[in-house]
Amino acid sequence: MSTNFSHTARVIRADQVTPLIKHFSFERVDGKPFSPFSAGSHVVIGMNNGTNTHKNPYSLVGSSNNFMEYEIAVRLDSTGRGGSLFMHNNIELGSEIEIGNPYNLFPVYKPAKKHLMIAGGVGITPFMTYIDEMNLMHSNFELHYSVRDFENGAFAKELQDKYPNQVNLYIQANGVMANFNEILDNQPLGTHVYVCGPQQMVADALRIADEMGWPNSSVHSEEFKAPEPGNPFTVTLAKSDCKINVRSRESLLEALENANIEIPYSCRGGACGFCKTEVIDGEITHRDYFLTDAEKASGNCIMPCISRAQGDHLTLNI
Amino acid sequence: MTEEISEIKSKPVYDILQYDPKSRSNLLVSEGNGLVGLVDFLNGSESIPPSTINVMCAISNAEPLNPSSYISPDRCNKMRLFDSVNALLEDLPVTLSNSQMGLRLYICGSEIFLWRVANLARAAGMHKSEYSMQLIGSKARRVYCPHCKTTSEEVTTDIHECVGCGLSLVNCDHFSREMGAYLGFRVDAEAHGEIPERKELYR
Ligand code: FES
Repeated sequence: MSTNFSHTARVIRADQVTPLIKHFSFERVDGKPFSPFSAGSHVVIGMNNGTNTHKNPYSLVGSSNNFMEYEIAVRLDSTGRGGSLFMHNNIELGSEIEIGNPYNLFPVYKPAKKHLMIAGGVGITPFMTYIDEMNLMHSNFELHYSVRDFENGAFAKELQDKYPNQVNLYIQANGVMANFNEILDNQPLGTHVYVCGPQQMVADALRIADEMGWPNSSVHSEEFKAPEPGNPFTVTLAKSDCKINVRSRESLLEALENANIEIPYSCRGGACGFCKTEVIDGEITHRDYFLTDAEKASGNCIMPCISRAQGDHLTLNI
Repeated sequence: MTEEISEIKSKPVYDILQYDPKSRSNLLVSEGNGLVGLVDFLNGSESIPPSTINVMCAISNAEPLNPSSYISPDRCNKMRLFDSVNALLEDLPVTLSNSQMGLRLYICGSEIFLWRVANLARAAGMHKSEYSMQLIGSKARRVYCPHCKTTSEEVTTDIHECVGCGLSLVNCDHFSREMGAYLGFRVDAEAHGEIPERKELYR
Protein backbone atom coordinates (compact mmCIF):
# COMPACT_ATOMS: atom_id res chain seq x y z
CA MET A 1 0.00 0.00 0.00
CA SER A 2 1.15 3.50 -0.77
CA THR A 3 2.54 5.56 2.09
CA ASN A 4 0.40 8.44 0.79
CA PHE A 5 -2.66 6.89 2.38
CA SER A 6 -3.32 7.45 6.03
CA HIS A 7 -6.43 5.48 6.98
CA THR A 8 -8.60 2.56 6.12
CA ALA A 9 -12.23 3.59 6.13
CA ARG A 10 -15.55 1.83 5.82
CA VAL A 11 -18.66 2.91 3.93
CA ILE A 12 -21.47 3.73 6.35
CA ARG A 13 -23.89 5.21 3.80
CA ALA A 14 -24.11 4.95 0.01
CA ASP A 15 -26.94 6.71 -1.81
CA GLN A 16 -27.58 7.07 -5.50
CA VAL A 17 -28.52 10.78 -5.40
CA THR A 18 -28.91 11.08 -9.17
CA PRO A 19 -28.70 8.47 -11.90
CA LEU A 20 -25.03 9.40 -12.33
CA ILE A 21 -23.96 10.49 -8.86
CA LYS A 22 -23.42 8.32 -5.82
CA HIS A 23 -22.95 9.88 -2.40
CA PHE A 24 -20.76 8.02 0.12
CA SER A 25 -20.09 8.50 3.83
CA PHE A 26 -17.09 6.88 5.50
CA GLU A 27 -15.87 6.29 9.01
CA ARG A 28 -12.44 5.13 10.07
CA VAL A 29 -12.27 1.42 10.80
CA ASP A 30 -10.26 2.17 13.97
CA GLY A 31 -13.15 4.33 15.21
CA LYS A 32 -11.00 7.46 15.55
CA PRO A 33 -11.90 10.90 14.14
CA PHE A 34 -10.60 12.01 10.74
CA SER A 35 -8.29 15.01 10.39
CA PRO A 36 -10.07 18.37 10.35
CA PHE A 37 -10.36 20.06 6.96
CA SER A 38 -11.23 23.45 5.53
CA ALA A 39 -13.96 24.15 3.00
CA GLY A 40 -12.91 23.22 -0.54
CA SER A 41 -10.58 20.35 0.49
CA HIS A 42 -10.25 17.09 -1.38
CA VAL A 43 -9.07 13.62 -0.44
CA VAL A 44 -7.69 10.79 -2.54
CA ILE A 45 -9.62 7.54 -2.26
CA GLY A 46 -7.86 4.28 -3.01
CA MET A 47 -9.94 1.28 -4.05
CA ASN A 48 -8.59 -2.12 -4.78
CA ASN A 49 -10.32 -4.06 -7.49
CA GLY A 50 -8.33 -7.22 -6.85
CA THR A 51 -5.60 -6.64 -9.42
CA ASN A 52 -4.70 -3.01 -8.85
CA THR A 53 -5.57 0.09 -6.84
CA HIS A 54 -7.47 3.01 -8.37
CA LYS A 55 -6.71 6.31 -6.72
CA ASN A 56 -9.04 9.18 -7.45
CA PRO A 57 -9.33 12.62 -5.85
CA TYR A 58 -12.75 13.78 -4.63
CA SER A 59 -13.91 16.97 -2.94
CA LEU A 60 -15.22 16.45 0.57
CA VAL A 61 -18.90 17.35 0.62
CA GLY A 62 -19.88 16.83 4.25
CA SER A 63 -19.81 19.26 7.14
CA SER A 64 -16.32 20.26 8.21
CA ASN A 65 -17.57 20.11 11.80
CA ASN A 66 -18.18 16.39 11.77
CA PHE A 67 -14.78 14.75 12.29
CA MET A 68 -16.20 11.25 12.55
CA GLU A 69 -17.29 11.09 8.92
CA TYR A 70 -15.99 12.04 5.52
CA GLU A 71 -18.42 12.36 2.64
CA ILE A 72 -17.79 12.40 -1.09
CA ALA A 73 -19.92 12.39 -4.23
CA VAL A 74 -18.77 10.34 -7.22
CA ARG A 75 -19.93 11.00 -10.75
CA LEU A 76 -20.03 7.95 -12.98
CA ASP A 77 -17.73 8.51 -15.92
CA SER A 78 -18.25 5.62 -18.29
CA THR A 79 -15.60 6.91 -20.69
CA GLY A 80 -13.06 7.20 -17.87
CA ARG A 81 -10.53 4.68 -16.75
CA GLY A 82 -12.71 2.67 -14.44
CA GLY A 83 -12.32 4.27 -10.99
CA SER A 84 -15.76 5.86 -10.87
CA LEU A 85 -17.34 2.78 -12.43
CA PHE A 86 -15.81 0.68 -9.68
CA MET A 87 -17.06 3.08 -7.00
CA HIS A 88 -20.56 2.88 -8.46
CA ASN A 89 -20.72 -0.86 -9.01
CA ASN A 90 -18.57 -2.39 -6.33
CA ILE A 91 -18.37 -0.04 -3.35
CA GLU A 92 -21.36 -0.41 -1.08
CA LEU A 93 -22.32 -0.34 2.57
CA GLY A 94 -19.54 -1.97 4.58
CA SER A 95 -16.90 -1.83 1.81
CA GLU A 96 -13.46 -0.74 2.88
CA ILE A 97 -11.30 1.77 1.03
CA GLU A 98 -8.10 3.69 1.71
CA ILE A 99 -8.29 7.41 2.28
CA GLY A 100 -5.57 10.07 2.24
CA ASN A 101 -5.24 13.24 4.25
CA PRO A 102 -7.33 16.19 3.10
CA TYR A 103 -5.59 18.87 1.09
CA ASN A 104 -7.00 22.20 -0.01
CA LEU A 105 -6.20 23.65 -3.43
CA PHE A 106 -9.39 25.69 -3.54
CA PRO A 107 -9.79 27.54 -0.24
CA VAL A 108 -12.39 30.19 0.58
CA TYR A 109 -11.00 33.74 0.78
CA LYS A 110 -12.49 34.56 4.14
CA PRO A 111 -12.11 38.39 4.15
CA ALA A 112 -14.22 38.74 0.97
CA LYS A 113 -17.29 40.96 1.32
CA LYS A 114 -19.32 38.50 -0.70
CA HIS A 115 -18.73 35.01 -2.09
CA LEU A 116 -20.05 34.28 -5.57
CA MET A 117 -19.95 30.62 -6.59
CA ILE A 118 -20.38 29.34 -10.13
CA ALA A 119 -20.74 25.57 -10.51
CA GLY A 120 -21.34 23.27 -13.45
CA GLY A 121 -22.39 19.63 -13.00
CA VAL A 122 -20.30 17.70 -10.51
CA GLY A 123 -18.36 20.97 -9.96
CA ILE A 124 -20.91 21.56 -7.22
CA THR A 125 -18.97 19.28 -4.85
CA PRO A 126 -16.41 21.72 -3.36
CA PHE A 127 -19.20 24.25 -2.82
CA MET A 128 -21.07 21.90 -0.51
CA THR A 129 -18.49 22.59 2.21
CA TYR A 130 -18.21 26.26 1.18
CA ILE A 131 -21.92 26.84 1.67
CA ASP A 132 -21.93 25.01 4.96
CA GLU A 133 -19.12 27.22 6.23
CA MET A 134 -20.53 30.46 4.81
CA ASN A 135 -23.89 29.74 6.34
CA LEU A 136 -22.27 29.20 9.74
CA MET A 137 -20.23 32.39 9.42
CA HIS A 138 -23.26 34.38 8.21
CA SER A 139 -21.31 35.42 5.12
CA ASN A 140 -22.97 36.94 2.13
CA PHE A 141 -23.00 34.28 -0.62
CA GLU A 142 -24.68 33.40 -3.87
CA LEU A 143 -24.54 30.18 -5.90
CA HIS A 144 -25.16 29.81 -9.63
CA TYR A 145 -25.40 26.14 -10.47
CA SER A 146 -25.84 24.77 -14.00
CA VAL A 147 -27.07 21.21 -14.48
CA ARG A 148 -28.03 19.24 -17.53
CA ASP A 149 -31.46 18.40 -16.14
CA PHE A 150 -33.01 18.51 -12.70
CA GLU A 151 -32.70 14.76 -12.27
CA ASN A 152 -28.96 14.92 -12.77
CA GLY A 153 -28.32 17.92 -10.58
CA ALA A 154 -26.65 16.49 -7.50
CA PHE A 155 -27.85 18.20 -4.31
CA ALA A 156 -29.86 20.64 -6.45
CA LYS A 157 -33.12 20.15 -4.64
CA GLU A 158 -31.65 20.12 -1.17
CA LEU A 159 -29.68 23.31 -1.87
CA GLN A 160 -32.65 25.07 -3.33
CA ASP A 161 -34.90 24.09 -0.42
CA LYS A 162 -32.37 25.17 2.16
CA TYR A 163 -31.20 28.41 0.56
CA PRO A 164 -33.97 29.59 -1.76
CA ASN A 165 -32.65 33.15 -1.86
CA GLN A 166 -29.01 32.35 -2.52
CA VAL A 167 -29.21 29.41 -4.91
CA ASN A 168 -29.87 29.94 -8.62
CA LEU A 169 -30.35 26.80 -10.71
CA TYR A 170 -29.93 26.69 -14.47
CA ILE A 171 -31.43 23.60 -16.05
CA GLN A 172 -30.04 23.22 -19.53
CA ALA A 173 -32.71 20.69 -20.57
CA ASN A 174 -35.25 23.48 -20.06
CA GLY A 175 -33.15 25.83 -22.18
CA VAL A 176 -31.97 27.89 -19.20
CA MET A 177 -28.30 28.79 -19.41
CA ALA A 178 -26.23 30.73 -16.93
CA ASN A 179 -25.18 34.08 -18.38
CA PHE A 180 -21.81 34.95 -16.86
CA ASN A 181 -22.00 38.54 -18.05
CA GLU A 182 -25.15 39.04 -16.03
CA ILE A 183 -23.93 37.08 -13.02
CA LEU A 184 -20.67 39.01 -12.80
CA ASP A 185 -22.24 42.37 -13.50
CA ASN A 186 -23.10 44.70 -10.63
CA GLN A 187 -21.50 42.61 -7.92
CA PRO A 188 -20.52 44.67 -4.88
CA LEU A 189 -16.92 45.79 -4.49
CA GLY A 190 -14.94 43.22 -2.51
CA THR A 191 -16.73 40.18 -4.00
CA HIS A 192 -14.69 37.05 -4.75
CA VAL A 193 -15.84 34.60 -7.40
CA TYR A 194 -15.16 30.84 -7.33
CA VAL A 195 -15.72 28.71 -10.41
CA CYS A 196 -15.75 24.91 -10.57
CA GLY A 197 -16.93 22.71 -13.40
CA PRO A 198 -16.10 21.58 -16.92
CA GLN A 199 -13.03 23.08 -18.57
CA GLN A 200 -14.91 25.20 -21.10
CA MET A 201 -17.25 26.66 -18.49
CA VAL A 202 -14.35 27.60 -16.24
CA ALA A 203 -12.46 29.16 -19.15
CA ASP A 204 -15.52 31.21 -20.20
CA ALA A 205 -16.20 32.47 -16.68
CA LEU A 206 -12.55 33.44 -16.17
CA ARG A 207 -12.36 35.28 -19.46
CA ILE A 208 -15.55 37.23 -18.83
CA ALA A 209 -14.49 38.14 -15.28
CA ASP A 210 -11.23 39.50 -16.67
CA GLU A 211 -13.00 41.51 -19.37
CA MET A 212 -15.29 42.96 -16.73
CA GLY A 213 -12.39 44.26 -14.69
CA TRP A 214 -12.27 41.65 -11.94
CA PRO A 215 -8.68 41.46 -10.66
CA ASN A 216 -7.08 37.99 -10.79
CA SER A 217 -6.81 38.03 -7.02
CA SER A 218 -10.62 37.98 -6.70
CA VAL A 219 -11.15 35.09 -9.12
CA HIS A 220 -10.61 31.47 -8.05
CA SER A 221 -11.19 28.30 -10.02
CA GLU A 222 -10.91 24.57 -9.88
CA GLU A 223 -11.25 22.35 -12.88
CA PHE A 224 -11.69 18.66 -12.85
CA LYS A 225 -9.10 17.04 -14.97
CA ALA A 226 -8.52 13.33 -14.93
CA PRO A 227 -5.69 11.57 -16.70
CA GLU A 228 -6.65 10.79 -20.28
CA PRO A 229 -5.69 7.61 -22.05
CA GLY A 230 -2.88 8.03 -24.57
CA ASN A 231 -0.29 6.11 -26.52
CA PRO A 232 1.68 3.53 -24.56
CA PHE A 233 5.33 4.37 -23.92
CA THR A 234 8.39 3.13 -22.06
CA VAL A 235 9.89 5.00 -19.17
CA THR A 236 13.50 4.53 -18.11
CA LEU A 237 14.42 5.32 -14.52
CA ALA A 238 17.98 6.64 -14.66
CA LYS A 239 18.85 6.26 -10.97
CA SER A 240 17.33 2.89 -10.36
CA ASP A 241 18.29 1.67 -13.82
CA CYS A 242 15.03 0.00 -14.78
CA LYS A 243 12.43 0.24 -17.50
CA ILE A 244 8.65 0.35 -17.05
CA ASN A 245 5.92 0.17 -19.66
CA VAL A 246 3.10 2.69 -19.38
CA ARG A 247 -0.05 1.24 -20.89
CA SER A 248 -2.45 3.35 -22.84
CA ARG A 249 -5.15 3.49 -20.13
CA GLU A 250 -2.89 4.19 -17.16
CA SER A 251 -1.14 7.39 -16.18
CA LEU A 252 2.62 7.60 -15.76
CA LEU A 253 2.09 8.01 -12.00
CA GLU A 254 -0.05 4.88 -11.88
CA ALA A 255 2.50 2.88 -13.87
CA LEU A 256 5.22 3.94 -11.43
CA GLU A 257 3.03 3.06 -8.46
CA ASN A 258 2.21 -0.31 -9.92
CA ALA A 259 5.96 -0.94 -10.13
CA ASN A 260 6.18 -0.02 -6.42
CA ILE A 261 7.85 3.31 -7.02
CA GLU A 262 6.59 5.95 -4.62
CA ILE A 263 6.02 9.44 -5.95
CA PRO A 264 4.40 12.05 -3.68
CA TYR A 265 0.99 13.23 -4.89
CA SER A 266 -2.11 15.00 -3.70
CA CYS A 267 -4.53 16.09 -6.41
CA ARG A 268 -3.75 13.54 -9.15
CA GLY A 269 -5.06 16.13 -11.55
CA GLY A 270 -2.08 18.31 -12.45
CA ALA A 271 -2.76 21.14 -10.01
CA CYS A 272 -0.92 20.73 -6.72
CA GLY A 273 2.65 20.23 -7.88
CA PHE A 274 3.43 17.40 -5.48
CA CYS A 275 4.35 14.84 -8.13
CA LYS A 276 6.79 17.02 -10.13
CA THR A 277 9.54 14.77 -11.50
CA GLU A 278 12.73 15.55 -13.38
CA VAL A 279 12.97 14.38 -16.99
CA ILE A 280 16.35 13.70 -18.59
CA ASP A 281 15.30 12.61 -22.02
CA GLY A 282 12.22 12.37 -24.24
CA GLU A 283 9.50 14.74 -25.42
CA ILE A 284 6.59 15.53 -23.07
CA THR A 285 2.92 16.30 -23.69
CA HIS A 286 2.12 18.59 -20.75
CA ARG A 287 -1.48 18.65 -19.51
CA ASP A 288 -1.05 20.15 -16.03
CA TYR A 289 -1.90 23.58 -14.61
CA PHE A 290 1.08 23.68 -12.32
CA LEU A 291 4.24 24.17 -14.37
CA THR A 292 4.98 27.59 -15.82
CA ASP A 293 5.12 27.94 -19.59
CA ALA A 294 8.89 28.30 -19.32
CA GLU A 295 9.17 25.07 -17.33
CA LYS A 296 7.00 23.28 -19.86
CA ALA A 297 9.10 24.59 -22.73
CA SER A 298 12.34 23.56 -21.03
CA GLY A 299 11.14 19.96 -21.16
CA ASN A 300 13.04 18.92 -18.05
CA CYS A 301 10.15 18.20 -15.71
CA ILE A 302 6.78 16.47 -15.85
CA MET A 303 3.68 16.06 -13.68
CA PRO A 304 3.30 12.26 -14.03
CA CYS A 305 -0.25 12.23 -12.60
CA ILE A 306 -1.59 13.77 -15.79
CA SER A 307 1.09 14.22 -18.47
CA ARG A 308 2.60 11.64 -20.78
CA ALA A 309 5.42 11.09 -23.26
CA GLN A 310 4.87 12.57 -26.67
CA GLY A 311 6.85 9.81 -28.34
CA ASP A 312 7.49 6.26 -27.25
CA HIS A 313 9.94 6.86 -24.40
CA LEU A 314 10.87 9.10 -21.49
CA THR A 315 13.83 9.00 -19.10
CA LEU A 316 13.21 10.19 -15.54
CA ASN A 317 15.86 11.18 -13.04
CA ILE A 318 14.62 8.90 -10.26
CA MET B 1 23.23 66.84 0.90
CA THR B 2 20.96 65.45 3.58
CA GLU B 3 21.52 61.92 4.55
CA GLU B 4 18.60 59.95 5.80
CA ILE B 5 19.16 57.91 8.91
CA SER B 6 18.22 54.63 7.38
CA GLU B 7 17.49 53.18 3.97
CA ILE B 8 15.25 50.12 4.04
CA LYS B 9 13.53 48.56 1.05
CA SER B 10 10.00 48.70 2.41
CA LYS B 11 9.93 52.44 1.73
CA PRO B 12 7.20 52.77 -0.89
CA VAL B 13 7.83 54.18 -4.35
CA TYR B 14 5.04 56.03 -6.09
CA ASP B 15 4.20 56.14 -9.76
CA ILE B 16 2.10 58.39 -11.87
CA LEU B 17 -1.55 57.36 -12.21
CA GLN B 18 -2.15 54.85 -15.00
CA TYR B 19 -5.54 54.21 -16.56
CA ASP B 20 -6.65 50.58 -16.49
CA PRO B 21 -8.70 50.00 -19.66
CA LYS B 22 -10.43 47.00 -18.09
CA SER B 23 -12.09 49.24 -15.52
CA ARG B 24 -15.85 49.65 -15.64
CA SER B 25 -15.85 52.72 -13.45
CA ASN B 26 -13.14 55.04 -12.23
CA LEU B 27 -13.02 56.93 -8.96
CA LEU B 28 -10.48 59.74 -8.78
CA VAL B 29 -9.64 61.02 -5.30
CA SER B 30 -7.34 63.89 -4.41
CA GLU B 31 -6.34 66.20 -1.66
CA GLY B 32 -4.89 69.72 -2.04
CA ASN B 33 -2.35 69.91 -4.84
CA GLY B 34 -3.01 66.29 -5.69
CA LEU B 35 -5.66 67.71 -7.99
CA VAL B 36 -2.83 68.47 -10.42
CA GLY B 37 -2.16 64.74 -10.73
CA LEU B 38 -5.81 64.02 -11.49
CA VAL B 39 -5.88 66.72 -14.16
CA ASP B 40 -2.72 65.32 -15.80
CA PHE B 41 -4.24 61.86 -15.64
CA LEU B 42 -7.45 62.98 -17.33
CA ASN B 43 -5.56 64.93 -19.99
CA GLY B 44 -3.36 61.95 -20.72
CA SER B 45 -6.18 59.44 -21.08
CA GLU B 46 -8.86 61.01 -23.20
CA SER B 47 -10.26 57.61 -24.13
CA ILE B 48 -11.84 57.15 -20.69
CA PRO B 49 -15.61 57.52 -21.10
CA PRO B 50 -16.67 60.51 -18.95
CA SER B 51 -19.73 58.58 -17.74
CA THR B 52 -17.40 56.14 -15.92
CA ILE B 53 -15.50 58.85 -14.03
CA ASN B 54 -16.34 60.14 -10.58
CA VAL B 55 -14.13 62.66 -8.79
CA MET B 56 -13.79 63.44 -5.10
CA CYS B 57 -11.52 66.32 -4.07
CA ALA B 58 -10.66 67.70 -0.66
CA ILE B 59 -9.70 71.39 -0.91
CA SER B 60 -8.33 72.09 2.52
CA ASN B 61 -5.06 73.86 1.84
CA ALA B 62 -4.49 77.50 2.66
CA GLU B 63 -4.59 78.49 -0.99
CA PRO B 64 -7.00 75.98 -2.45
CA LEU B 65 -7.02 75.22 -6.12
CA ASN B 66 -10.50 75.29 -7.47
CA PRO B 67 -11.14 71.84 -9.01
CA SER B 68 -14.04 73.14 -11.08
CA SER B 69 -11.75 75.41 -13.05
CA TYR B 70 -9.46 72.49 -13.91
CA ILE B 71 -11.90 69.66 -14.59
CA SER B 72 -14.81 70.57 -16.79
CA PRO B 73 -18.17 69.10 -15.80
CA ASP B 74 -18.57 67.19 -19.08
CA ARG B 75 -15.29 65.33 -18.42
CA CYS B 76 -16.84 63.31 -15.61
CA ASN B 77 -20.07 61.86 -14.35
CA LYS B 78 -19.93 63.61 -11.00
CA MET B 79 -17.46 65.79 -9.13
CA ARG B 80 -17.78 66.20 -5.40
CA LEU B 81 -15.83 68.72 -3.35
CA PHE B 82 -15.09 68.36 0.36
CA ASP B 83 -13.87 71.18 2.56
CA SER B 84 -11.56 68.92 4.55
CA VAL B 85 -9.63 65.71 4.10
CA ASN B 86 -11.53 64.22 7.02
CA ALA B 87 -14.87 64.95 5.41
CA LEU B 88 -13.70 63.14 2.27
CA LEU B 89 -12.35 60.21 4.27
CA GLU B 90 -15.62 59.90 6.14
CA ASP B 91 -17.60 59.76 2.94
CA LEU B 92 -15.30 57.38 1.05
CA PRO B 93 -16.27 54.10 2.80
CA VAL B 94 -19.92 54.79 1.98
CA THR B 95 -19.09 55.55 -1.64
CA LEU B 96 -16.99 52.36 -1.89
CA SER B 97 -19.61 50.15 -0.29
CA ASN B 98 -22.05 51.35 -2.93
CA SER B 99 -19.59 50.54 -5.72
CA GLN B 100 -19.32 47.44 -7.88
CA MET B 101 -16.57 45.11 -9.05
CA GLY B 102 -14.69 46.64 -11.94
CA LEU B 103 -14.04 49.89 -10.05
CA ARG B 104 -10.55 51.36 -10.20
CA LEU B 105 -9.47 53.93 -7.65
CA TYR B 106 -6.87 56.60 -8.49
CA ILE B 107 -5.45 58.45 -5.50
CA CYS B 108 -3.33 61.58 -5.60
CA GLY B 109 -2.06 63.70 -2.73
CA SER B 110 0.32 63.71 0.22
CA GLU B 111 1.85 60.48 1.43
CA ILE B 112 -0.33 60.44 4.53
CA PHE B 113 -3.44 60.94 2.42
CA LEU B 114 -2.47 58.19 -0.04
CA TRP B 115 -2.23 55.58 2.67
CA ARG B 116 -5.31 56.67 4.53
CA VAL B 117 -7.28 56.26 1.32
CA ALA B 118 -5.51 53.00 0.44
CA ASN B 119 -6.43 51.57 3.83
CA LEU B 120 -10.07 52.45 3.32
CA ALA B 121 -9.90 50.80 -0.12
CA ARG B 122 -8.45 47.66 1.39
CA ALA B 123 -11.08 47.64 4.10
CA ALA B 124 -13.67 47.79 1.32
CA GLY B 125 -12.17 44.59 -0.11
CA MET B 126 -10.05 46.14 -2.86
CA HIS B 127 -6.80 44.50 -3.93
CA LYS B 128 -3.73 46.62 -4.60
CA SER B 129 -4.13 45.96 -8.30
CA GLU B 130 -7.43 47.88 -8.13
CA TYR B 131 -5.99 51.18 -6.94
CA SER B 132 -3.03 53.32 -7.89
CA MET B 133 -1.35 56.16 -6.06
CA GLN B 134 0.59 59.23 -7.06
CA LEU B 135 2.44 61.32 -4.53
CA ILE B 136 2.07 65.08 -4.89
CA GLY B 137 2.41 67.41 -1.96
CA SER B 138 3.65 66.85 1.54
CA LYS B 139 6.00 63.98 2.25
CA ALA B 140 5.24 64.38 5.95
CA ARG B 141 5.06 60.97 7.57
CA ARG B 142 2.87 59.15 10.00
CA VAL B 143 5.19 57.52 12.50
CA TYR B 144 4.23 54.60 14.66
CA CYS B 145 5.72 54.33 18.15
CA PRO B 146 6.42 50.70 19.06
CA HIS B 147 6.69 51.66 22.74
CA CYS B 148 3.24 53.14 23.35
CA LYS B 149 1.61 52.07 20.03
CA THR B 150 0.54 55.61 19.19
CA THR B 151 0.86 57.02 15.69
CA SER B 152 2.09 60.62 15.39
CA GLU B 153 0.74 62.46 12.36
CA GLU B 154 2.46 64.95 10.05
CA VAL B 155 6.02 64.28 11.12
CA THR B 156 8.46 66.28 8.98
CA THR B 157 11.70 65.78 10.90
CA ASP B 158 13.97 62.77 11.26
CA ILE B 159 13.55 62.87 15.05
CA HIS B 160 10.35 63.80 16.84
CA GLU B 161 8.68 63.42 20.20
CA CYS B 162 5.99 60.76 20.19
CA VAL B 163 2.59 62.35 20.86
CA GLY B 164 1.70 59.36 23.01
CA CYS B 165 4.63 58.81 25.35
CA GLY B 166 6.93 61.74 24.63
CA LEU B 167 9.95 59.57 23.84
CA SER B 168 12.22 60.92 21.15
CA LEU B 169 11.80 58.69 18.12
CA VAL B 170 13.86 58.49 15.00
CA ASN B 171 11.77 57.37 12.08
CA CYS B 172 13.31 54.86 9.75
CA ASP B 173 12.23 53.92 6.23
CA HIS B 174 10.54 50.78 7.40
CA PHE B 175 6.99 51.29 6.22
CA SER B 176 3.86 49.37 7.13
CA ARG B 177 1.28 49.34 4.35
CA GLU B 178 -1.39 48.16 6.79
CA MET B 179 -0.94 51.19 9.01
CA GLY B 180 0.24 53.59 6.33
CA ALA B 181 2.95 54.55 8.83
CA TYR B 182 6.70 54.47 9.21
CA LEU B 183 8.20 52.74 12.19
CA GLY B 184 9.84 54.93 14.83
CA PHE B 185 12.37 53.77 17.33
CA ARG B 186 13.85 55.33 20.39
CA VAL B 187 16.75 57.51 19.37
CA ASP B 188 18.40 57.32 22.80
CA ALA B 189 17.79 53.60 23.23
CA GLU B 190 21.43 52.96 23.98
CA ALA B 191 22.40 56.13 25.81
CA HIS B 192 19.29 57.57 27.43
CA GLY B 193 18.95 61.30 27.13
CA GLU B 194 21.40 61.69 24.26
CA ILE B 195 19.20 63.25 21.62
CA PRO B 196 20.90 64.47 18.45
CA GLU B 197 19.71 67.63 16.76
CA ARG B 198 16.72 67.08 14.53
CA LYS B 199 16.65 67.81 10.81
CA GLU B 200 13.65 68.67 8.70
CA LEU B 201 13.56 66.05 5.95
CA TYR B 202 10.02 65.34 4.80
CA ARG B 203 8.26 68.42 3.54
S1 FES C 1 -0.44 14.97 -7.90
FE1 FES C 1 -0.96 17.07 -7.97
S2 FES C 1 0.09 17.72 -9.75
FE2 FES C 1 0.39 15.58 -9.79
